[in-house]
Amino acid sequence: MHREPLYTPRRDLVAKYPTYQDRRVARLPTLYWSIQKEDYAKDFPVILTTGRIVEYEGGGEETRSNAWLAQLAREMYIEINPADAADRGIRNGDKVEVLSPTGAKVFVKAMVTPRVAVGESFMPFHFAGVFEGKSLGPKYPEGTEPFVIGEAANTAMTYGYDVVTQIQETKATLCQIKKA
Amino acid sequence: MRLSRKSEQVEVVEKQHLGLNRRQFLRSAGLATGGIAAASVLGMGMMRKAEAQTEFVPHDTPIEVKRTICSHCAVGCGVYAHVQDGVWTHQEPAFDHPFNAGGHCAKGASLREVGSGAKRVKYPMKLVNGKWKRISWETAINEVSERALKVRQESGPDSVYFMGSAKFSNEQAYLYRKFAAMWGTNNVDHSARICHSTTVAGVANTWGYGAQTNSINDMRNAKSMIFIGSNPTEAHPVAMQHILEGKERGAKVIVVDPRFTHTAAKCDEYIHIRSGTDIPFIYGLLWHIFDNGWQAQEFIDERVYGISRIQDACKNWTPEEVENVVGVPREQMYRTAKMLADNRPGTVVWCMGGTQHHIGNANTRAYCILQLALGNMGVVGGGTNIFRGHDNVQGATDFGLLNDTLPGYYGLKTGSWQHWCRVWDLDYDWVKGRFDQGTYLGQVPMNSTGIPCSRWHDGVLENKAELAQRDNVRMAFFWGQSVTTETRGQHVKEALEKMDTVVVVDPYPTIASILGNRTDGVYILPACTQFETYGSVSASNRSIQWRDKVIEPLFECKPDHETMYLLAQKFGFEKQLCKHIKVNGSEPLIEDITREFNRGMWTVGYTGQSPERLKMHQQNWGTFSIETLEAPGGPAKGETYGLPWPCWGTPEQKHPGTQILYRTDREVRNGGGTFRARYGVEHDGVNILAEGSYSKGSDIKDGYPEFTDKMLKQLGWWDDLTPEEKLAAEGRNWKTDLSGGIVRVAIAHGCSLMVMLKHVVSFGISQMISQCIVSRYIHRVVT
Repeated sequence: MHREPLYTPRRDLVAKYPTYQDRRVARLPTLYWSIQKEDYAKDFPVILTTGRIVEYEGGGEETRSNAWLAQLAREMYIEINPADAADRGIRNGDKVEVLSPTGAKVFVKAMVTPRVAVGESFMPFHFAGVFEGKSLGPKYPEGTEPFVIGEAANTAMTYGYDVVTQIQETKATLCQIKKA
Repeated sequence: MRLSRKSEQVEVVEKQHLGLNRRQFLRSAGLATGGIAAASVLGMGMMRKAEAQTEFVPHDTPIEVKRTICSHCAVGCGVYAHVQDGVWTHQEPAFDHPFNAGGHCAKGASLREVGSGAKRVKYPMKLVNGKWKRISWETAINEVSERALKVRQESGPDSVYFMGSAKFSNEQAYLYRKFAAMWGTNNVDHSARICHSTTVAGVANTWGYGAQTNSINDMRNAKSMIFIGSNPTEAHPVAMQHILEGKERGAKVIVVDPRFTHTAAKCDEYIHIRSGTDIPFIYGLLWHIFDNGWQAQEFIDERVYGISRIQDACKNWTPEEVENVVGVPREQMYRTAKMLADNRPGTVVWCMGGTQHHIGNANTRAYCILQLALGNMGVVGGGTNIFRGHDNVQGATDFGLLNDTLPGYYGLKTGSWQHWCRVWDLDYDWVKGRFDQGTYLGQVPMNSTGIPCSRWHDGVLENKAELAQRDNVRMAFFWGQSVTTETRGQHVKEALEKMDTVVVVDPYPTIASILGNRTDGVYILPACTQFETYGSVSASNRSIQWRDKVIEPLFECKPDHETMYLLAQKFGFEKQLCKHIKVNGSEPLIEDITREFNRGMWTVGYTGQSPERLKMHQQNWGTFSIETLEAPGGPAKGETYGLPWPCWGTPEQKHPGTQILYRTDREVRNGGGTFRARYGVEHDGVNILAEGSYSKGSDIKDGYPEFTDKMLKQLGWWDDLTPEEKLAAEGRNWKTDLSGGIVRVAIAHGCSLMVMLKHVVSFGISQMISQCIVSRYIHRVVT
């Protein structure tokens, strides 16, 4: 049985394919409908998904601290379709602001590529060490700051947990992208 | 030749008469793999160990070759680590290893960096007035344990959160779960929660075990492969050599993803779906499969229950509706369904793209249904090849490093606790007494699912009255896992600031140590990587591999099991924790931990893989076939590499491991098996045991329920047990009989060991049964 994502761009399908009612899962109250009923798509029209890149693993703390890998992937970025980029006056390599329905903002580089479809975007999830534009570099214990730091994709990722296992929804949410 | 090394033989580099050439210079300096570019980035810090001895490790220092396994994903690539005078000077991908056959990705090729540890945490630290201060291990353990005990006294054991890691070895993962149990909480979890938990739930509820059913090597035999939300080219690069081998042999490759990934670049058919529409996509394929009569009817009749409900549900997913919701046109859906139907057996691969959704568990069931309809289960070249992410996320899951189960998916019910208490040789009432004795919102902490690691921050921030435990989370151990992995970053930060104490145990100072604006109450304890200790690790395909210790712990780092023991001493339960585990100084003996879990893991068959058998496989990995994973000769003749679970019975029973689950064309004793039901033997009054389907050589020619002492007596097999086994088996079933007698006798009669295993969560089962197919597992009730 299909259920639309909590943050869906297809408001026209919500009535037919609604999510669950809010409920308690294990020890915690868990929200579903109370999020989906709000229309975020107007202000946040771009689908956002996340994933891996070959150079890093997981949260990336270990691999970004490895110079041989760090030199291969130096910067956090968002993939954005050429059409969406053109609409926003964004060129490949520009600094952009990714706005989340949670109110969070992350500042990353734009990778303008047809790899993602029009109206969709992608961020890798291995970066951390910058939080909403502010570097946390000086806060690391001396000599331990990874070679590469960047905004964490999850700073912008939104609410949503599987009804059985409480896995987090990191593959289908919404955002807005602006030139920074 | 170094590139084809097949033994551990020590090799002395021939003396150079004309001085060092460039390559030897770099190698001596510990920089050959990274090259010149890295040398300038890393600087002299790289040479710390070497400097302690002489300027460099002399080039002719004898080389010791250690066998280890990459720690960056669950493909499980073999690595030869060259060590000279205690310094990790060189590495080679193992050319004779059946998984990687000499392949490495960027991450694998860079492993040796951990041997220098430029950015590692080098000693214990605490945050004092906003500054990091070096402290001794003794101070660190004293202060951390005092703080934990204070929280325990004021708010109960559930207010301390134990985040674990998929970077633990099996032994460490098992010990950590036991450690949390001794502390008295189910607030223990790790990254399986946030990557494949919905797979474990969805798949186990469909056919019994929540794991990859075949193997990556077996994909060489597939005729079609469909990747849904999986991008192995980046996430599991070395798997691609098997995938592309399959493609060269004619397999059709289909990639389904919102993004045109690097894997899509290699496929025959790329399908763009809108994020979060996996179920309509699968039902859309099924619509065409049923419409054209492409389903595997004979397989369905024998082994599948409830397909008619699926057929009904498919009627809503007409090509027009699929195009509207998913965005895939009718012709492409038809073409794809036909490709899958014409090219059987085929395999389905999914990863985070399918699992990380608020309907993730339903997505994974949909993928399974597709495979059942096509009859692709239990066959070579078929199956659901679910690629796991971290190197030991399969093992850490199997060992119950989760908030909803004890090791082996036994669950959290009283009977489950009693089973493990018997394995641990501990009094159940003592263990029970460690837990909060209250009831909160109808839940008893010892028997209720803890707070998931995806939402530990909600455990901190949520209104106390809304929590089904005594108080909020006030202190957390972030042991090997980064909080980068939790969504809603602003809340994560707030929770880090609100807690009394944050403890990071890691080789690196993960973001939990610095994200919150704190000036005090943060501790960082330096942990060893898996290259500074040894033990077993479970690859994605359920093979269990033994790792050598490559180097001694760097700096002041300690292996995780030792840190657990040091804390247990302060918490006052180290004797119970290690009752049957030898402790050297403060380090529990790894092999004893392996033997202990061997004694308890009857559900999934982690009982036959003794340290001795695993080490024998490790030493002989070159003898296993890349095609079949079986050894045609040598000491492991007839066994499957890494004894993939289920490896039934005791080590002495020599089960060869099971590469392909639910395979009925082989005897159970030879790696065959059957589906396992998790809903009893009937549903709505209908028998859901298999009909006329059984594994080769089975004395029972139909479905059968779980083996118990009573069933053996009814079958007249009771006297096959030895007198000692009879004593142990009385009143037990195959998953609780610690002698292994019931298992031995059932297998001798060609039967597989069915269990009602723990389910990942108890709520939601009724809802699942109405939605999904329940595979019929073997057999008829025997009277």
